[in-house]
Parts: sequence; structure tokens; C-alpha cells
Amino acid sequence: MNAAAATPAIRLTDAAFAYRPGEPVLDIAEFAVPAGEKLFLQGPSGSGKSTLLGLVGGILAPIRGTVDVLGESLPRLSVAGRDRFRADHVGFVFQMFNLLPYLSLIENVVLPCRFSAARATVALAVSKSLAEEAARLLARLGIAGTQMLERSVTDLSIGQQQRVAVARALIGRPALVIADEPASALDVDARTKFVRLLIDESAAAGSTVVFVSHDPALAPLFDRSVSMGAINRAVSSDG
Amino acid sequence: MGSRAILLRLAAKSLLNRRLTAGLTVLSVAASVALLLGVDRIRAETKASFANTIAGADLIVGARGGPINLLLYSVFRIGDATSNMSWQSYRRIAARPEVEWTIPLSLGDSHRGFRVLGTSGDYFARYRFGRDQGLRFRAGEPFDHAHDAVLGAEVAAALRYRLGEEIVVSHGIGDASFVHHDEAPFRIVGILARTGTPVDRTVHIGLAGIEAIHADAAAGHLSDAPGDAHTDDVQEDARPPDAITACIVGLKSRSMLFGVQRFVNEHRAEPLMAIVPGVVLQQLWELVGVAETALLAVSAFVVAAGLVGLLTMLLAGLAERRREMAVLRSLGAGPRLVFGLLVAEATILTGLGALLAVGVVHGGMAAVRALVLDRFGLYLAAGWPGAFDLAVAVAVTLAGAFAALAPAWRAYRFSLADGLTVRV
Repeated sequence: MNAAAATPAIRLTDAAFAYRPGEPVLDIAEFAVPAGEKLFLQGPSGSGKSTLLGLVGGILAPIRGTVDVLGESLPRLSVAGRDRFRADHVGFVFQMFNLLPYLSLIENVVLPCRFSAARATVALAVSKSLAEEAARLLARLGIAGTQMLERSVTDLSIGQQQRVAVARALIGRPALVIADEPASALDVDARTKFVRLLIDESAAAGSTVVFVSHDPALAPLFDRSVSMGAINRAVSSDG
Repeated sequence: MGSRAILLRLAAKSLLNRRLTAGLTVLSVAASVALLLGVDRIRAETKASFANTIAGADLIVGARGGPINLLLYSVFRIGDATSNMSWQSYRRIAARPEVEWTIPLSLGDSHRGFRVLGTSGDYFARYRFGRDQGLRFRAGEPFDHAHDAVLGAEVAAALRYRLGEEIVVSHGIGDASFVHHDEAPFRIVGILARTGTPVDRTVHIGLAGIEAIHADAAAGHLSDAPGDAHTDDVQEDARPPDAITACIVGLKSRSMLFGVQRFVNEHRAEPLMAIVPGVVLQQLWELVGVAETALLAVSAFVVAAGLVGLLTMLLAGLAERRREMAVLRSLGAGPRLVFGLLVAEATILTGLGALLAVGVVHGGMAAVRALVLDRFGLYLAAGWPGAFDLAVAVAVTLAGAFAALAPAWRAYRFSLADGLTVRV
């Protein structure tokens, strides 16, 4: 990231969101993530994590305040503009069911490049073809070999599926990777290893990482740890 | 790669992944559309074959009564004449300068359930059906003597008759006629090729033959069936009959039609009526066609049922696909792509179903064409799918896309509400 020092990857100022008028579920005075940082965002369910990710991902629009991602003011973009922004700059990894069962592993990993010409261009700068880039990323994440790549998505273990999801989030080197409880479905032993892999590969891609989890044991692996309770004014201390 | 290309790729792959349900949906759409197209095709063919029962005849003349009744007994061999027309009247009409040819028809007898038609040798030369096709002999030749008979194709096939066999004609109609003209057996001298018209179910003999059997019957002091108007005082075979049932008239020019029709209708000696076969056929079709229209309407409802099945499949699959939608959204897919994905899937399913149906109906027609022509004498026109088939295929495909709007709208709302996390 060249402009890393100047522009924070994420900056929310006085941002609020409500599904129903008068009942805000998220109200943040100030929240910033410097570019390149690997941030651990901790909070139980109902703490507004998903809503925050929705705002940062451009799926939701705040009822007030500013949401700047990579220097772009998301609320000023149209709905389609935010979709395009997300496709170009954000890679997501969810808790489970990340992959489309009707696509092959390679096709799943290549999918973001189908939605974003920018990420396809970056991927093709690294490898000769998108499929080759997908295979390269998968290999770095420990998924390699023709036999493995030809397997159906549903034949993979959850750990393997999550690693494929990370490869998909990283293809085309998006500036921001958002991981929403990506390790929760894994065994405790596999968890740390998986998170290390995610952090290392994101660093290799130059991506800022926002890692959301309810499990504080993972916090020491990250640059910084933030609790949802500390930034969300809308949720009382029981959350 | 444009978003439209992704859409089609994803829709196709997703359907392929659910190939069993998707395949069954295509089949149900195809079956319902094939039924609709098949019914329409059969409707068109029966109508054509109905209209093709008689051709080249300008007028049919018989005793005054209902025009449809006259057409039914003279052409379709259904029902009976209420009265006859005299030979003198027939000769007077045949002698008109406008008249080019006439075929006398004398009905009222039967052979084992098949109607017997007394006529002249002109019948084989002049009778036309279909697109101006003439009668052809599969075996033998026209009758020459009073006791010669020419069989329609179906009579010969059903009763397994061969040339040279002798048959017995019953007086009256129906298999259980009281009087058998045992004294006057007829020899089969000809068998006609199949026409797909009532000619196939007719036993043809000469007018002299008709006179002969009734002379024999009279000589044996056997009473005639009631309602039969054949005279029974014939003593010599060569003498013309006193009366016939009806006659078919061909004119030198169509422009003389109404003049001759008026001449017949105003004929003083006895009450006669001349009908234009095409006009009365049309009236008759309007009567019969209602049933076929009803059948077509029923098939249209079956297509609607097929589309409801498609809708059910899409809606049922929606709940479990919410995660898939959320994943697509996270990758940058707009809600409109999610909407389009479902519409595209439905369009692909109905489009394939409709194409399959057109293929099945036309392939099927081609496959059974020879068989149907041989067995039923029904000529199924060859050729590419017509405008109706294409219109139905397009309409069904559009209807499928339209039906998908509801589930697509739900998916759209889900994907907006769910955002990136699915609350199921």
C-alpha cells in the first residue's frame, strides 16, 4: 500500500445505523483502521459487528455520519457504485458456506475477478491466467494437487473450505479483507494455524485485515484488538 | 466478462448442480407444452382432413331437408335420407348446359356394418378428395357388371377380403339387417387405395346392382325396411332406377354455381335442395370444432399447471439459497444480479422445456407419419415448426420468466435484508 501512511483503510465518524427508525443498533463516534493493520474486532453476537461490517462493505448505508473506506466516502456512492467498490476492494471470508457448491474450487476462487476487472488485472499481473493465480493462492494455503483441485466443494472438510474462501478473498489483492468469524467452525488446534495463514497471506497481498471474532484467545495474533463494546454507543454493557 | 455473461454462467452451473429437480421441471414444462402443441396439431390435421373429405364437387343435390343432414349422409355416410330424388329430376339436372359431370348416389343398404353405395362408373373417375386427389385402385378395377363390387380400403382390411371373393349385401343398415340378399351375391372386382375419407368404409356397387338386389328381394316377397324408398318393381337389369338418394354435381365453371343452385332449389316437380359442400362443411366444423377448442383450452391449463410447478420449485429452493445469494452479494453482485439470476434460471428451464416440446411433437410427427397415413389415411403435413409452435414456445418461455418475478423479488428482498449474514 503506497498511500498507507496518509489515508486510513477505514474511518467512521459519528456513524449510526438503525433497521427501524428510533432504534439504532450501531452508533460509533470514531473508529479508524490504519492501512495495512491487522485488526482484531471482538464482540459477542448482538454487539453490532455484522452491522459494522455491512457499513464497511457498502451493503448498508448509515442513517448519519461518514463511512470512509480506502479514502472513498461510501454513503456518497450509489447502491450500484458501492457494489462495484466492494467487488474491487474488499475480500470477505464468512464463518461457513463461503463457497458456491456448483462451481469447482478454481472457479470459486476466480469468481471475484468475474465481478471486478481491476482485481482480474492485478491477478493477471502475478500469473499468466486467472486459474493459475487461483491455483497458486490455493497452494500457498495448503490446497494443492490435481486430485485435490478436482474435488467437489462439498467433499472438502470445513478447514479446507475456509482456506479456499481465504484464497478467494485474496485473489486480485484487494486492499481490505474482512473476516467474519472465519475460524469459529474449526477445531481449537486448527484455529491458530488457520488465522496465522490468513494474516501471513494478507500481508503478502498487502491487504488490511479486519478480523471479527467472539474468541479473545486469538487476539494476540493481531496488531491491535478492539472491543465492539468500546466503540458502539448504541449497545448497553450487557452486549 | 460482463455481468450478463456471469449471470448466465452462474444460472447454468447452478441448474446443472440441481440437475435432477431442474430436469424434472424441464420435463413437466415440456410435457405440458407438447400436449398443447400436439392437440393443436391434431386439431389442424383433423380440420384439414375433415375439409378434405370431398373436393372438386360444386354442388350436392338431394331431397329437401337440412343441409348438414344431406352432407352427412351423402359424404360421411352418417344417418339416412328422409326421402329420395327421382331419376327424372337427376337426369334433368345432369342435362343442364352448365353441368359438366354428375355422380349419382344411392344409399340404404349395408354389408356387415359397412354402408353400400350404388353409383355409376363416373364415381371412380370424378370423385375427388384432399388436395384434388382422385381415387386409385390398390387392386382390381371399377365395376362393370350388375353384381360387381368395389371395396373401400378399410372394408377390405377389416373383413380380410380379396379380389374375386363373393359377398352378400343386406337390405337396410346395420349388421343385424333383417333381409339378406342371398340370391344376389356380389363379386369383389376392385379394392381402392386408402383415402382417409369415408370412401374407405364404403362398399361400391353399380346402380344396376342396387336395382337387382331389390328386384330379387321383391320377388321373394320380403318386406323392405321401413323408411327405405327403393322401388321394388324392377324387372330388367338394364332399366334405370326410379330414384336415387342424392347426386354430386360438377359444373363447367364456378361462376354458374348460384344459377344451378337456384334451379335446383326452385325445381317444381319435387322438393330438392342443392348445397355447396365447402360451405356446409364449414358449418359442420363449427359444430364439431367446439370440442376441439375445449381440448385446446384444457391443454392451455395444463401448461399453466406446469408453470406453477416451476414456480414451486423456484420458491422451494429459495430458502436454502439465501446463503448463496449472500456470498454473491459479498463478491460485489448487486441485488439486481440476484434478481436476474432467478429470472434467468426460470427462463432457461422453460425455454429448454418449450424447445424439447417442439422437438418431441415434430420428431414424433415425423416418426409416425408413415404409420398414420397407412393405418388411418390421415396425412400429417411435414415441415418445420409453424408460427403457432414458435409463438407458444416464446410465450411459455416469457411466462416462465414472468412467473419467476415473484421468487426473484423475494430473493432480491432477502439479499437486501440479509446483507452479508444470513439469519435463517
